[in-house]
Amino acid sequence: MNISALPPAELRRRLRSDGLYFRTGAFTTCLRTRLEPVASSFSLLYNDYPLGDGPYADFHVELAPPRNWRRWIRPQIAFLSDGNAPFKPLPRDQAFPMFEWGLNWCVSSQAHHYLMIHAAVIEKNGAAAILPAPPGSGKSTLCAVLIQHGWRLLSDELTLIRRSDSRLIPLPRPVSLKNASIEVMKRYAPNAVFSPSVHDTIKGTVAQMKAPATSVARADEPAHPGLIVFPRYEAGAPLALTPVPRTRAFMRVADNAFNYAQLGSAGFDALAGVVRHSDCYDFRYSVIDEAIQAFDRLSMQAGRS
Amino acid sequence: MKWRLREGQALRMLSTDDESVIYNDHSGDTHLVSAAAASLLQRLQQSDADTASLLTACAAEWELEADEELDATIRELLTELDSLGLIEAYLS
Repeated sequence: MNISALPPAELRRRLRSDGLYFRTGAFTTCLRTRLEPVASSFSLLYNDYPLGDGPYADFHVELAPPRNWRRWIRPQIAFLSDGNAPFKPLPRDQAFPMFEWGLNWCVSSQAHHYLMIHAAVIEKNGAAAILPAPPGSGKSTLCAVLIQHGWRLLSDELTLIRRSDSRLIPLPRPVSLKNASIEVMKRYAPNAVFSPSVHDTIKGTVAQMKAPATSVARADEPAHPGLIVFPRYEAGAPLALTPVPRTRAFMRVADNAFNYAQLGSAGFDALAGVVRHSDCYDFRYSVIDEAIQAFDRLSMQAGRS
Repeated sequence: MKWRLREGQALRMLSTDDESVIYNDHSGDTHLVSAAAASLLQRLQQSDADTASLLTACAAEWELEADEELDATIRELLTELDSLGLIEAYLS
């Protein structure tokens, strides 16, 4: 049963009482909150996700006012994971983005049975493309565009590599957009669903775009690696696709990993298993439609070299 | 004096024509090394060897003269691999 099957009042009752259990790919989360804006955005963006069975959950998270005097002066909100607050409280209107960031933190700080890369990952024609990139490279925007054009979303933020066979494990969640890319995507995908924009966060203005229902429905299907693409948006620049030697791609992806060093030789084996089966490129773009065409060509050729 | 892989080095490696990434089981580091260095490591994985025999073998493999220049290159590579903790010298 999906979250959409819950009447709005029941969804809010669960959020306020013992928590609402839901599954995103391999993880079950229990969310508790009394905040209506969080309930509203959650209901909007997560209604395609399956409900989980309590009381077991990988992550027990709560969004609640911090217990100090500041709550009376400037309303704030704390993110709690298993009752602990790993971050400083944020202004109350940032509660939903804080939930998204907090859930990313839960995975990246705890899911060490995977090799975790800070990278988007999408899949088409049986070949997954990993997009590691620093903030500002246009990774999330590119990912958001491609999943509107037939690519399956595995994650816009966390690439999970299964250590036993180097397959990529889906974690399809809303795509985080910020600043100009929010309006770009609203114009580009007018039928997509977006959370309300939240201003003046540490990342500027942020909003989340709902993950395609088809990607959520396939959240239990791992993907085969096929491409590693390092994207860079550069206004006015012609499209450029430059092969990267696998050795260099390996080092760059390892630099973007959350837990490569902690995993030791198992991390090396897992990443080598991905890189050996991937064509690797630096990708510079400025025109979205050209980028879509280039990615479609890459997906057809992936793994043949 | 001979060279050998340091004990416990499994030599996990991912290679292209020009270079290799190698996992160092001792330090937990990952090194990017030249194809020549990777070739030396693989020879030492098969058997211990002294510098002179490595020079002869590498000259044959790389189709180069076993001259002073190649000798200096191989000594430099061995020193580099030693400093990374991948190999060690011992008195035979």
